[in-house]
Amino acid sequence: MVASLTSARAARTRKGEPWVYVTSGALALMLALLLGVILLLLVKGLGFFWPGELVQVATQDGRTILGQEWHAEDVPESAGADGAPRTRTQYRVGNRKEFGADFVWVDDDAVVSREIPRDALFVERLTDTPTIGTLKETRHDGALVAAGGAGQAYETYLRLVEEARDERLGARAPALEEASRTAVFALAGGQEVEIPLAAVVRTVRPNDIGLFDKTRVYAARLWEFLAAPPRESNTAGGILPALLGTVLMVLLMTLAVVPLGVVGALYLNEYARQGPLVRLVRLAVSNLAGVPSIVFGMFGLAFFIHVVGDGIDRVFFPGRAAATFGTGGLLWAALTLALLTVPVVIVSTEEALRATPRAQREGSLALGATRWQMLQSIVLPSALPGILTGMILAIARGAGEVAPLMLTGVMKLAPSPLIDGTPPFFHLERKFMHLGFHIYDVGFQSPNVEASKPMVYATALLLLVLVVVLNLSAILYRNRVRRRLQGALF
Amino acid sequence: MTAPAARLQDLFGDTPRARARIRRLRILDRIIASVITLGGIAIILAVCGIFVFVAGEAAPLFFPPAARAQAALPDAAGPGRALAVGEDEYREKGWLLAEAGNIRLLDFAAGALLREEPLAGLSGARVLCGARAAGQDVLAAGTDDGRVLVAGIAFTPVFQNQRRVAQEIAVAWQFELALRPDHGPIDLVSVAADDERVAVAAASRGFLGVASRKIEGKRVRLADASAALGGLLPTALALDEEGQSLAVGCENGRIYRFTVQGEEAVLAESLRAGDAAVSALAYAFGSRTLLVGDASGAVSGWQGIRSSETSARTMSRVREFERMQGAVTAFAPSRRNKSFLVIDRSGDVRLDHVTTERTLLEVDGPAGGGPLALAPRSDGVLAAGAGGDLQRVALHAPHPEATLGALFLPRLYEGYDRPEFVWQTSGGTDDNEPKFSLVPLIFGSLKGVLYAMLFSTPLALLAALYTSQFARRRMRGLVKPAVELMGALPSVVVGFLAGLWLSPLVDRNLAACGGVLISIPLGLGLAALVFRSSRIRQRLAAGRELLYILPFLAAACIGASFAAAPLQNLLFGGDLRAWLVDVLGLAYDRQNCLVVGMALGFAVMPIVFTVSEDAMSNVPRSLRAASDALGASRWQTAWRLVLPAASPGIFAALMLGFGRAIGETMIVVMATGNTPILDLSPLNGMRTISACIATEIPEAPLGSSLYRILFLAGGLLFAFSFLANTAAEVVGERLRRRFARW
Repeated sequence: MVASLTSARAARTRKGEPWVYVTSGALALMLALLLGVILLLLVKGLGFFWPGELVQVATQDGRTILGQEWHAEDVPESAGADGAPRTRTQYRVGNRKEFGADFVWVDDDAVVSREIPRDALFVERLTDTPTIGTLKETRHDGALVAAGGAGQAYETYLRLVEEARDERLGARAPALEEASRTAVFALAGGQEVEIPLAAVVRTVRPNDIGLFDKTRVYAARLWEFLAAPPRESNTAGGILPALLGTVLMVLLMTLAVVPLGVVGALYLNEYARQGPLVRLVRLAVSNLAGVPSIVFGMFGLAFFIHVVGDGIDRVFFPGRAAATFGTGGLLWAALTLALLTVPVVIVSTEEALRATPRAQREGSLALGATRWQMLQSIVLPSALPGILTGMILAIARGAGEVAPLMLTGVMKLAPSPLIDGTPPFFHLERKFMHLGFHIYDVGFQSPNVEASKPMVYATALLLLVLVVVLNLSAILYRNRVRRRLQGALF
Repeated sequence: MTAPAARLQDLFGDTPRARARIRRLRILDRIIASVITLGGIAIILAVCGIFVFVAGEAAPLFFPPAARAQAALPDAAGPGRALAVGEDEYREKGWLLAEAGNIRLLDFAAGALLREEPLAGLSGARVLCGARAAGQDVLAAGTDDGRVLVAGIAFTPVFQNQRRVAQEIAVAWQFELALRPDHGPIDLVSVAADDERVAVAAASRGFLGVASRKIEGKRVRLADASAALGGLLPTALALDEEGQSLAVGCENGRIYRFTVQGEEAVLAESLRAGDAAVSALAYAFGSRTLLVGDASGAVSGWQGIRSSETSARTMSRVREFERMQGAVTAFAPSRRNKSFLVIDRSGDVRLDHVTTERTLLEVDGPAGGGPLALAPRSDGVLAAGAGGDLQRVALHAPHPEATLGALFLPRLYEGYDRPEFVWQTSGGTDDNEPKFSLVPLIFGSLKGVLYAMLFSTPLALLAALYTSQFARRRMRGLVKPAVELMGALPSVVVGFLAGLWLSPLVDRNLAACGGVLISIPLGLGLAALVFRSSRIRQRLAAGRELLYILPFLAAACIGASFAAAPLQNLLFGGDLRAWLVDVLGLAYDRQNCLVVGMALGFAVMPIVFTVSEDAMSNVPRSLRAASDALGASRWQTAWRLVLPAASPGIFAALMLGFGRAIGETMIVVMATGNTPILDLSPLNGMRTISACIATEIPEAPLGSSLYRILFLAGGLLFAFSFLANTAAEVVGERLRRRFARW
């Protein structure tokens, strides 16, 4: 286009051209931010499950440290005259009970020797932080079964761990304190610790196993993360209850929001007399989509819990001392989120209802169909994609919302499961756990923030994947349907 | 007839079956129509009713307090009058100290005297005056032979099936304190008590003494301050809750304040209250405000104020309450907030609040202005008349501290030296007054929005301009879903990254992060300079600007991180943070607005981008073609034509961004530090309305002032975002109409 113009014209038409580059820079920055966040979550969230090398370092002041290299940084305010700051490394040494802290900082220039002991073990336990050390003895009923941690002795240890686990999962599980099978580990620095094998979740020799075994450990840990309940006050183990709580809550919310939204949209678009009032209502409904979620949470607290819930308690459970429905719970949280997301469903359903061609409606009515027959057989089927898009968008918004839940029944550790064997099996009034709240709680209220950070990254990644998959499916579905509808219009 | 024909006949013919079917269909249609109409209206009412409901929860804050007279006990004190009164927290049982020299235990439900207990150790002396301790059912009686008799009343609830069924009342202990060695009369007495100790002050002309004793002990500490008072006639006496500060009001209108320590009472201050005699004194709940009433009916509040940073606190007259008709005779401070009852000689009783200086309500009490008490839950008045009668009034004033002034204007709180905006809902001690100024919260919300918009607006608008005007179609097809995805990121994830990853990162590398903020615009400027040369541009393909700009951005970031340390050493003496604090006087918080601005900005950016990009790409082609035809460059078209034409859409985008940022909760909860301060500096945090609601409402008791004030704040938040959204909607509508013309 430009080539055909004279050079003077060309110079003029290019006036301000550098600014185009500046605007492209803004876009680049925005995309970089997004990519950066996603990459950060991917690396930190997925990296955690990899069995990292255990390093043993000796320092100038005679300390020996065995642990995972966790984090490295410049020592603050250490830039000497040469300008180069000193560096230090944080090691995850585990054994919080024995050492008092499961993370230590070591200045790198204080390290005398550094080695990677092949027999170092990383023992994940049911309670307490992992034990990091070397196997010294394996005992059964107090008697020595195997000494040392190499070869045959290690095999024996693993077998006893299996047996202890079977016993723990068996019918008559003994308390951990009276467990018969134990192992003694030598920790860095000479200390020894004896732990019951029933409490051992997994033993890894990260320095001694190959890539294949490491991948297996990785997969096992990832599976545990997804399919096991949390351990050690949410800093280890899995997030199954939170995942389950999120899914159940979203399911319940969907059950509530779709009929509500569709009925609301049908009324607004098909039954209400169109006029300024309906326009106003429509404006209000679409504006509600932008109202802060915390306000909906307050409404849920004041109305669902304190008006409806207290009412139910008064009528159906008058004798109980503790509130049953008059306190936060799954049902109230789901209904609150349903209210929060109902504008999304109303707006997209209305859009779809409006998109149904007038000719089809009139044709149907001309054939003598009643209004409901027309809606049922012509409008609703053609609006179904729009309704579904609205539903998916509502789910995506609902799954990521946390603030309203904090007022309506989410808990850091739910005292009892949502589904269990006592009738009515599905307990709507119980408090529940949620991925989003889990992130907030473990990340900011945890007693051991450093150890729980990777869990938070992994949880955040999971939530992100959940929400992104839901959104992407809504976007893709919408695009496909749009194309199909465009095709249908001749 | 063949089968299909029969079917047709059934469907359309005029047969009874067909008619029945059509009737059924009509009925179904009507039922569904009414169901959907009712349901739709209900849903829309429910959705729109949220604001009404949230505001309705806050409304009781502003309901006027109410009072209701209850059955009086006409002859409760027998011959003579009552000198001190009290009741239990359920307002079922009560007691009074009768002038006749006994303690009478009363049952209010039956309206009768339960029993009479003589004052132990009275032994023929006459009782001249009486008092009760604030917050405790402890009474003191001054006799005409220089002694003070002290008694404790105990209320014990009776439980049946874990439910309280009754309240029992008994005199738990009694002892006497001999205050005057000369056995002269005691005309005024004041008592302070906690669960272990009792302190008593007594005065009459020429005598002022303080005595204290453990309830379970024998040792009495006596302090005599008669000398300090000289021959003045004391007319009012108040001992604070700890028994350590004693205020004595005199006939000459002066107040003498003594500090009591062990066996010493030292004159600390002498204050002039007015010309009239000081007729009543009391410490308000928490003992930091001294309430003063005089014979002319003036009621004032005094508290310790520092006139300069270094000086000690002196009692100053900082609160003026409405005047009473007659001489003020007694005060009764609340045991749970800063309100108090005051009564005058004509029997008018008033409930006032210290901090707001507001009169909550007025009731008619018994003539004579006898002693009175505010019920433990501040829900009732017990007032004794001169004729021995006892009047009871039920009060309902649940939110004495909530006035529009308290919520939105600076207030002088106890412990402060000047009026300030303070949000502080819980304190270290029980008697700490909750401070409910919404101003720091509103300020915090707006501050967060400001930094979020500062960060996101330039980026999002320029990016939208590029995407809509210059980018290739395919790139546009990638960018838009990517940004939608960005908008779908749960805010709890963004907040967590801001709080746990970004905030420590910025904390460690403050100079580098500040450097990046400066170097990126510099880098873009440098790029603009380089791309001025058309010779360079000729080699590059239009529509791929994004790729060519990347090296400049990367260079800017890397340059900033490398240059940060040397520049910091050179300009800021090696430590930027210390320099900021020392030289510029900026407070530095680890969780500061740089972080919050970026995190909130990240959350706001997608909506600003999407809406403004839509507006820009919807500028009619014909307009753009006209501009091109007139010889404008693509930049000129974009800058001078598209931007102005799309400006309402851009405004709408900014409004929507504002609405989103002001209501965002999880990000600010996790990344702001949540300190309610009034400081615009980017290097410290804030507390926003939304974060405050999220963190405080789970702790707020149902129906308490805090609960309702948080709902008020929620209503404000709703109103802010609803207004912003409506503005966006209205302006966007106008834009659509404007473009529709072309």
